Amino acid sequence: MKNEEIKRAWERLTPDEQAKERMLQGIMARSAAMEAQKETSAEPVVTPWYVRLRVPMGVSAAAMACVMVVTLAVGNPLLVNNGSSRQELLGTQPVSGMHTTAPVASADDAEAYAPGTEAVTAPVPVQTTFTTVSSALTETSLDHFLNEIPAVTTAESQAPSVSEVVTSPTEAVSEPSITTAASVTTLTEETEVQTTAHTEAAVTATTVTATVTQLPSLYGDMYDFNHVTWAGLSYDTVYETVPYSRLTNHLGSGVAVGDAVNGSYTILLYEIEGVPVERGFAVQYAGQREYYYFYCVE
Amino acid sequence: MLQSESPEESGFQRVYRQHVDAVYRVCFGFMKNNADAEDAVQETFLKLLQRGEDQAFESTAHERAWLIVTASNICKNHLRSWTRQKRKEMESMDELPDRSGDGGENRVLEAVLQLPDKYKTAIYLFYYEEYSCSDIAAALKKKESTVRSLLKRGRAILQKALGGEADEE
Repeated sequence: MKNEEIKRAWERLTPDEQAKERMLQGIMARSAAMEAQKETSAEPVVTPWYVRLRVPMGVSAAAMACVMVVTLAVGNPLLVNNGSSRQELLGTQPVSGMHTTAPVASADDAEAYAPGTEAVTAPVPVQTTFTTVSSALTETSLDHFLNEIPAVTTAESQAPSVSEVVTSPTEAVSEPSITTAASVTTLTEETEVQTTAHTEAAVTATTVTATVTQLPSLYGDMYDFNHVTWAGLSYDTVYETVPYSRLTNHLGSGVAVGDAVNGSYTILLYEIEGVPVERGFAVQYAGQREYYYFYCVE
Repeated sequence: MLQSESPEESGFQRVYRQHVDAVYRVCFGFMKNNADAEDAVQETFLKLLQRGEDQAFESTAHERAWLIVTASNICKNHLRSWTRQKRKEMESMDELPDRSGDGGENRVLEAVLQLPDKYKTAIYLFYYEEYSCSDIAAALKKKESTVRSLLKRGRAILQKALGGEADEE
């Protein structure tokens, strides 16, 4: 066996011209197909509508979830004004919540409540008024409104709590940094509640006059609202958290304010085990999970 | 014949004409039938088309070596597939492009085609392309000693099949 034989054997494996032409045409065709495929893949892909709307839908869902959380938080019984504490805090705030009195005969009476605030007179039955007014209220004021309705209708049994509410605002009014007009308004209204609640006990048909003052938005950065006034004392926080296990009593709800921001932030107040309220308490911001220690600065 | 339609195609067609025979031989040596060999040839030249412009060859010899090695790799990949392995070995001589050879040439060719795949490329490059062992080692990315070993065993197989003594390198 010679090398030349092997070479000649390989040489016989030579394609004819037709085969060469066929292969070249095949190469060109496949190359063109690949180019076309490349161009097709480079074209923008039309995504289906559910993919395109995925992000907006997600944002909408998140927004709805936020609204639901805030609604539930405001509707939570813990946030309902149970009397004294709320009133004291409101006295320190630039604006007041919604309050009801019953009955009020005319709009003139209502106007006497609130200089500088919007007065709504609704000489209609309680249920109707509630429905009508609620749509125009902020969640916090609605909460307050809901709390006030039983005070009117149940009369005698609720009266003590109402009078309790009225006792302390004088201190709150004295706060210099807060809009006193709103505080005075609140006092006037609550006084009306007290007086009319007693007289309304025997009256079956009641009317409700609601004075509505828009509260500032609940939404905001809680770290901007680090100051609370409670029972005439000022409290601040450095956002030191307090474990839930150390909380004892629910003190009530209120609002926190900040030096650098307008408005307020709805909060829940809790007594801390072993810590007198005069020294400090725990605060939970509406919609937040953590409890923060507020210490007295006076 | 091969007509050029554009300068770009002309360049490719020139390369194609220059190397298609060598590529076809390698492919036929592995695939042992015209259809698969032609398919492998097309795939090899498609790979050449897909090479980036920054991957230019140093020389024609470099280009040829690249095509031969690429063709053998493509064929090996094809032969690894299950369907291909299950296919019956065809009658090589019936598929030969040139059946005009006498009995002796056909015997040699048949023996070459019956070589195990791992020897075929080395044997082809050494005997037909007349590459040196070092060139084959560089093209196949193997050690030179490995190439010598492949050539020695391939020759031994051919001797056993054809008888006689093969020329030494």
